[in-house]
Amino acid sequence: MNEVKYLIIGGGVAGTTAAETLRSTDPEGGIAIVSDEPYRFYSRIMLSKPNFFLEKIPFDQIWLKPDSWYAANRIQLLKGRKAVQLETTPKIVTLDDDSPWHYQKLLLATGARARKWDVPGAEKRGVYALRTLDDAKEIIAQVKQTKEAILIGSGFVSFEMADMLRLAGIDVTLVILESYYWEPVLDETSGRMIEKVLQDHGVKINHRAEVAEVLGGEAVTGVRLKDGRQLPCQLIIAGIGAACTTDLAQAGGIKTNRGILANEYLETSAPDVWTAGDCAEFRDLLLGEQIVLGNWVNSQSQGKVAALNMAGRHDPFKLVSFYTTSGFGMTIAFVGDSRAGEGREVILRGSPQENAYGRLIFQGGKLLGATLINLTREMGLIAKLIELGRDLSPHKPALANLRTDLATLISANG
Amino acid sequence: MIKKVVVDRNLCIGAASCVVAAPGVFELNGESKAVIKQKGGVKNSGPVEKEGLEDGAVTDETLLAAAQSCPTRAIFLYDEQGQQIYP
Repeated sequence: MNEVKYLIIGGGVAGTTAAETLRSTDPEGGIAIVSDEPYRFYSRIMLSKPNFFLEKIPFDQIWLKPDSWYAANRIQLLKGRKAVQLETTPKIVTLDDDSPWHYQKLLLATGARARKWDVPGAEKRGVYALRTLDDAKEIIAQVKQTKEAILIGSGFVSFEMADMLRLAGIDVTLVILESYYWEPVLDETSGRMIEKVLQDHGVKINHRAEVAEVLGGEAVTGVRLKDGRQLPCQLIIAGIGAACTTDLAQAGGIKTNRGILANEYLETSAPDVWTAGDCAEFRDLLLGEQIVLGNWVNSQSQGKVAALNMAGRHDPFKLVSFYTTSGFGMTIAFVGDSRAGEGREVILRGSPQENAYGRLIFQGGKLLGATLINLTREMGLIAKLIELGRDLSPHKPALANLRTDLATLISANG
Repeated sequence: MIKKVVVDRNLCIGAASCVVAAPGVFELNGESKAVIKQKGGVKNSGPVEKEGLEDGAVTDETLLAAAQSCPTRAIFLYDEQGQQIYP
C-alpha cells in the first residue's frame, strides 16, 4: 500500500496550484498528483490560441513548470495513470495499474472533458475536439494538410479556431444549431456583432444547421447536413462544450449533480475529500447557489483555497471570476454570473454602432455579472462593483452611457 | 527584491489571472492585454520600475504570485542588478 498525506487527482491548474500551495503551507507532508495525461502541468488555456497553433511562439512555452519542479518540491507526479476506484472510509484510491493509495486528505481536481460529438462517421481521422495537448498536437498536424475546415458549435473554441484557421489561410465554415452565435449565453445583438467580424474575415456561417453524417473513408472528406447539402472538408473541430468529470466521485459515493457537489469551503459530501476546478459544483457565496464554472482563474483560485483548507484552514471560496476570448481584433468577456434569466434586468452599455457593447446583469439594484464585447478594459471595474455588492439602482440610467466612468461608482460613498 | 516589471504583449492572452492576483497592479486594456497601472494614470506593458507603480505598497510576494499565475508566463520580473527573477 502506498501512503501519502495529500493525494490529488488531476494535474491541471487546480491540482497543480493545490500541490504548490500545500507544499508552501506544509513543508513535510507527502504530496502525490495523479494525472491521466502523459504530461506534466501545461497551459490548457493556451491550446486554442492562434499564436500557439501557428507556432508563432515556441511550443515549449506550453509547459508551466519545469520537470525538475516536482522533485525539487517533493511532489510525486504519477503521469498517464487514471484513478479508477475510491473508497472514502478506508480512504483508498486505486489506480488503473491496480496500485492502491492510502490518503489522509484527498482533492478531486478531475476537470472536464469535451462533450462527445455524436454523429455517424465522427470517428474518422480529421474530426477532433479540443481539450488536451494531444488533441492540439493532432489538430496542428492536420491543419497543414487542410484546405477547408468545418467548425461545429458557437462558443469560444469555434471563435478562436476560426481566427487561427483563417490566419493559416484555410477556408472556414461554421455549422451551428443556434439562430445566432453563442445563443443563448449572449443576446442576439452581441451574437450578430461576432458574426459580422467572422463574416468580414471570410468565415461562412450556417445557422440552425446540423451535420447528419461525416463523409469519407478512413479520413474525413466532407459532411452532409440534415437539409441535404454537402460541404467538403479535411478537418472538423467540434467545440460543443465540456462536461464535468465525475466518475471517480460517483464511484466513491460522493454526491454529484452536474459536477462534484461542494460547499463554500470546497468540501464534498465525504469527509476529508475536497474538490476544485472545472469538475466542482460549488456553493457560490456571492450568488447563494450551487454553480459550475469552467475557467482558468476559477480553477486556479479554487486549487489554492482547497489546499489551504486541506492543510487545516477553514476559508470560504469567494471570487468574481471572469473569462475572456479574442479573435479578429474583437474581445469578448464574461464576468461573474452573466445569465440573464427570470427576475433579472439587463442594462445595455454602449452599442454595436460604437463597436463596444456590454450587458450588465442586475437583480434589483445589485450587479451580478456582465457580458462585454470590446469592453475588456472595464472588466476589472465591473468585477469590483459586483464584489462590493452596492445598490446601484440610482446609476442604472447612467450606466447605459459609455462615457460614464465606472471608476467613479467605485470611489463613490455608499 | 523586485525592481522592474514587464508584460510581453505577444505572449499575453488576457486570461486575467494577474488581475485576480494583483488587482492594484494589473488590468486588461481594450485589446484584452494586461497593462501595468502606474503613477500619474499611465497604463502600459512596461517596463516599469517598482517605485513607478500606482500601488506603491505592493509586496514582492504579490508581484511574484501574479507572475507565477500567468498561464502563458508573460510577466517578467527583474531584480536591482537587472537579473531576470521570473520566469
